Amino acid sequence: MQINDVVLGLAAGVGIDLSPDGKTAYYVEWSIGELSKVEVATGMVTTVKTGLAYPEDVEVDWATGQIFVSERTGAVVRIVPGKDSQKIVQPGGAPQQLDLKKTGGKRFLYTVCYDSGQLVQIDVDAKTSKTVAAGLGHPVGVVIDAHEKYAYVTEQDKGALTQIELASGSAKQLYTGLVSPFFLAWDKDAKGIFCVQRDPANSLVRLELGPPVTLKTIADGLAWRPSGVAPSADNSLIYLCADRELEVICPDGTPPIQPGKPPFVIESIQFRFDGSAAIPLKDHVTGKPIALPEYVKGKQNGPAAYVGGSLPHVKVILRKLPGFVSGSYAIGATGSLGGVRRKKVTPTFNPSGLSNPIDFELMWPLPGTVGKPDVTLDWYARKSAGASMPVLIGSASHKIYLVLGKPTAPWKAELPWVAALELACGWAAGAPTTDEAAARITERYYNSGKVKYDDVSGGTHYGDNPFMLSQMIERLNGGLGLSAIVNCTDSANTVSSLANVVGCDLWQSKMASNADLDLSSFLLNPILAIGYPPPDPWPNWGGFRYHEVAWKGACAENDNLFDGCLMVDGDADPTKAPHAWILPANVLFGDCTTVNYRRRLSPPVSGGCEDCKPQPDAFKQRRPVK
Amino acid sequence: MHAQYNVEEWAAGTTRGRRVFNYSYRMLGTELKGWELLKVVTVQETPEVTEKVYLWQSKSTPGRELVRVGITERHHWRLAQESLHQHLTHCMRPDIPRGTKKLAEMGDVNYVGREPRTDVPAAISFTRGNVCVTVSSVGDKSVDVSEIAASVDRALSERPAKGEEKKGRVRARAPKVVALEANKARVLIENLQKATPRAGWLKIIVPEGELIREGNALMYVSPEGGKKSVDTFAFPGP
Repeated sequence: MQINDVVLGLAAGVGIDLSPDGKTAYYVEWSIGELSKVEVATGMVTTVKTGLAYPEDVEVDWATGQIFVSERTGAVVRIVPGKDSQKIVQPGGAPQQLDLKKTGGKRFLYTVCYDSGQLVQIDVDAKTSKTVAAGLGHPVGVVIDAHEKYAYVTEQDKGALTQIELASGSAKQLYTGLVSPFFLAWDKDAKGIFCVQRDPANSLVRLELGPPVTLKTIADGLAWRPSGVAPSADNSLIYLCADRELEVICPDGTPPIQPGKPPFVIESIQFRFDGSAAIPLKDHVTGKPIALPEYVKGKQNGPAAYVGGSLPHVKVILRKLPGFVSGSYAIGATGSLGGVRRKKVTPTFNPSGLSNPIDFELMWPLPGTVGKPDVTLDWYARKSAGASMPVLIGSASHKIYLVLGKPTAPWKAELPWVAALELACGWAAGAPTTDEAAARITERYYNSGKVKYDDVSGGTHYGDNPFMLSQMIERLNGGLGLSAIVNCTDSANTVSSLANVVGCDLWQSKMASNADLDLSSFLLNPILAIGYPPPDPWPNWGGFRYHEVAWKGACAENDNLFDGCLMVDGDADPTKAPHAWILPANVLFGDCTTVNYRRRLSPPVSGGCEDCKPQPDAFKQRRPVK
Repeated sequence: MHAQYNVEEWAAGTTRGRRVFNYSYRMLGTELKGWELLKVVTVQETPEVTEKVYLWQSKSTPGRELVRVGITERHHWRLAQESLHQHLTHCMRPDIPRGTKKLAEMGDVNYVGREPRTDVPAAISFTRGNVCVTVSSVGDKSVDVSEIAASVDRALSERPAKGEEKKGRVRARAPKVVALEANKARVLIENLQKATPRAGWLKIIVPEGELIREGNALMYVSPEGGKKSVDTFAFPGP
């Protein structure tokens, strides 16, 4: 068997229902709240209903033409095409798959509710619902047997197919170990159940009800994140609704639907423009801002950066192709972060064949954690009036840097560097807070294996002012830089500059016995400087002239700091062995009465802790970078 | 508490450095026998300060022996000593000593850091005239940097060997005799930039008194008036 595309460019496709004659399928798109129908032989799509609230499944009463849709927000609605739509019940709890049964002149819809864990029976005409069973572990899929004796339900929590007796509500797990089992469908003789497994499996299996219950894989390698399944009457064709496309498992040699010709293509995409949320960026090697538009087909593809949680808009220019027919088109994109919200556009083109910039909005706000995703966008367009086929009008992958806040100094006077974001967003990937991001950067720097403490003189090697961040980045990326040798100033500069580019608010500041460093020194506990292996402390100087760290707030006793340069002894007595080395990341500097960072660094003796004093008035700064 | 680095003491001990001035000194890659110049990085370049870092790799054990030479050029020998002071006070190690024995002769004032395991002089910082120099072993293997530091010191302070001129590596301009009034500065070179070979450097040595750069001009002042012979050496670029 093979898998053919039927409809491309879905915006989180979920449920599907196939007509008994196998010619028409209805499907819902969760992200944009649309119900559509497709002639499965041709791939021609017609929009049936818009404005649904995160539709999960569609079930058609093929005898009456009524369509039922479950919505993530809790309702089940009835749609009569060309007429009205009406909420029939609100069971709440996030209803999922629907299964319609007709008995004795009555129509019952069954559904399971993901949030409430209930199996619900809905009397469609009476517009009432009742709970059949409860306590299910995030159920999603449901099918009812022909005699309405049992429901078969997929539970996400246990990866299970569970049988529920409708009369009693008692549940029995028939099969476990499924991978994100989603919607279900009966096979042709009702002895087995097709079950979609979502990612990472992305497969279709058939569970033979037995006994014993057994599993057979029908197809692997389905389009990413499949949800709905709808077999034809003889099971020769099995339609699947996945996140970004509707496809069919069919016999080998079945000719695919020929894709349509695009009326236009994506010429350019601009992320940063007046009023956009994108952060201006610079290529520090060329010294120039990232060229705009960031993406121009076949010419350039620069990165963009945003504060996480923002909802980017992009400006898109289309290039007209021969065969273009004027009119309204539905244009949007699928993609790795949910794509671009589909909208109706009536493009016009200037004599050079280019459109004006058209504003589009990403489907979802960007993740609220630090990251550097390669965001794929596959753009589709179809004529919005009547039946038409969505066609691919462009594809590209865009590097997007996600930070937690607008970069702080030194990234005020200096545009944030792409190379700094590349490093910092990688090191802090997944961090939801600035403290966590700075801690990850501190740890990754200390453990980079690329730099090593200057145990000869403790000198500053990457520049005191400016800080040669370009060279440090080269070093940390495996190049020569200004050599492996660093000290605390180099380390504080690196940690704070990289942390601040992802939105942290750190300073470089020193601790010393005297603001005149010529007069300064303080005693040290055993430490383990960057680049030296545990367990023995190194270097054994016994004292520092000064020490510098990345520091928060006022860079004073009550402020936390991040020290990428050295580890201190984290046990109850940091003055002597054994040493439980800890890297100070977001720890309180402290006073000399309690064992905080300060006491771990410097012993509570004359010339020690009391002389290891914060010196923010003299040294709190954010060095410019070069 | 006393300052470890007594700048006034440094000044009192500076004699030769008052009488030499280097403009736009640069390492071109042929200065250190057995070493290959890997890269040059300009850290600072303002009207008052030029700071460059040169990374050299040993030809015998490439990748293992690496030396960093930092050259900071100022307008006056006191400012070079200010740079040295700044460098030393920004070393975390509190007790970097002066050079001893042969190393004590290096520059106008010098400090020597020794590798703690081998005791080799692995970091030497000194000034010579208006230039502050730091030489550090920065490779996996610690190397004695004293010969490299001495080589830089010679380049900054000594008259070039006669053979160098024949090889075209330097052009010694005819000694210029200038008449000085005691304690009155006079312009020795109106425009240092114009007087310097393209991509090369200039070394000026006077018999007494001291040299000061003011803007683009080089001034000469001496407590004793009279005629002075000024040696100027122009080193062409590559």
